[in-house]
Amino acid sequence: MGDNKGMILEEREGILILSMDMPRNNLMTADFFREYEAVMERVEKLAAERAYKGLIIRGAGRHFSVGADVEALAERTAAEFTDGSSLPEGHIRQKHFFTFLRELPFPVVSVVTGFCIGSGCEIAANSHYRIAEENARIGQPESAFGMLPALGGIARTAELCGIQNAYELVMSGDLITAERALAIGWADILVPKKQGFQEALALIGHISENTEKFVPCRYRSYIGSYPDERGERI
Amino acid sequence: MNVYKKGLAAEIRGLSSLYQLLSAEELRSDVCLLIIYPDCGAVLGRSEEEKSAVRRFLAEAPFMTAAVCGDDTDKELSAAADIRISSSEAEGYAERLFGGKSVAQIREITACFAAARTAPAKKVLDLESRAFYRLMAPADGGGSHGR
Repeated sequence: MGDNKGMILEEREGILILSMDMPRNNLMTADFFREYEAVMERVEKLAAERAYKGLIIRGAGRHFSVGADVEALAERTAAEFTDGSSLPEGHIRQKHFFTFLRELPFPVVSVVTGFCIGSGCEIAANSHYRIAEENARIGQPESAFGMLPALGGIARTAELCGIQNAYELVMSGDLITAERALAIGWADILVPKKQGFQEALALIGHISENTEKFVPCRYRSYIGSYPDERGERI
Repeated sequence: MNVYKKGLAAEIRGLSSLYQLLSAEELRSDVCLLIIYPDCGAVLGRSEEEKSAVRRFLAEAPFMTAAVCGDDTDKELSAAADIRISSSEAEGYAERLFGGKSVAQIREITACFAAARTAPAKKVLDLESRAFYRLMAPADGGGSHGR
């Protein structure tokens, strides 16, 4: 892992903070997925044991994640076996640790910085909220590599952005700016560089102070009461 | 009504009502994206029954529909399409989306989005996984993944 510290899960004042510090800007290699699944298993257990105010997911460096290592993904896929009617167990487990974020009983906020691409983008899309810093570039470029996003990249993006924007994003494989991500509904909040983490703390603080019980299925309604940097309602 | 097919995309012109789509035999084959150029004054349907039939047809269509809209386009017509684009965006729209992708990819991605119009997220999550493994199968020798 070199100078990278891996998946760092901390707790600060009732908020879980996951800092992803894997090699090559969180390139999603087999090692990345192994570490990611392990840390998310811990998150799932912690969430079952006691109440937390929220979970923040961020990249420890400049980038949230540059996405999957396509060669490693092809190797993993080749090694998986299915009887033809069911999905591979490995994929089911992996997908669970992406999609379960939406079911957690507290707000999950991804702080999107730098490149947030492919399966990295799917971590963010499966979160309840996405705070995008101005430098961020977001996209699902799987279609440029002969595949498609399968960890929530279609289902969640369609929910967040509507059919038109999601279809264009997934089919074209284009990367979009943070400003565009906000405009199409992918991002919930746009902040200047290096402000995302503080904004995530503030958002979770706001929700925990103003909400008796966080209801995940109505998660987007909570953002409506949250004041933006000008003090206006979002 | 004239239908012009270009690979997996098709353009349809000369429509005064989208109800005419229901009798377009050309749409029953390999179309993934239908770009609709409605005539000036075109409507979704001439009656409530026709409008309901068109909405149902579009909601169940295995392809995506893009309506080329201007300021005077009927609001019900534009709202019924999956995608709304201007005439300048329509030029090269299919090429921009489909360029460099395989036929199988375009079909699989389109099928997921066609389902996403009405299906619950859980169903779409499952569909995208199965589509992924169908696409990956040829690259790793095929046959071992869910089809």
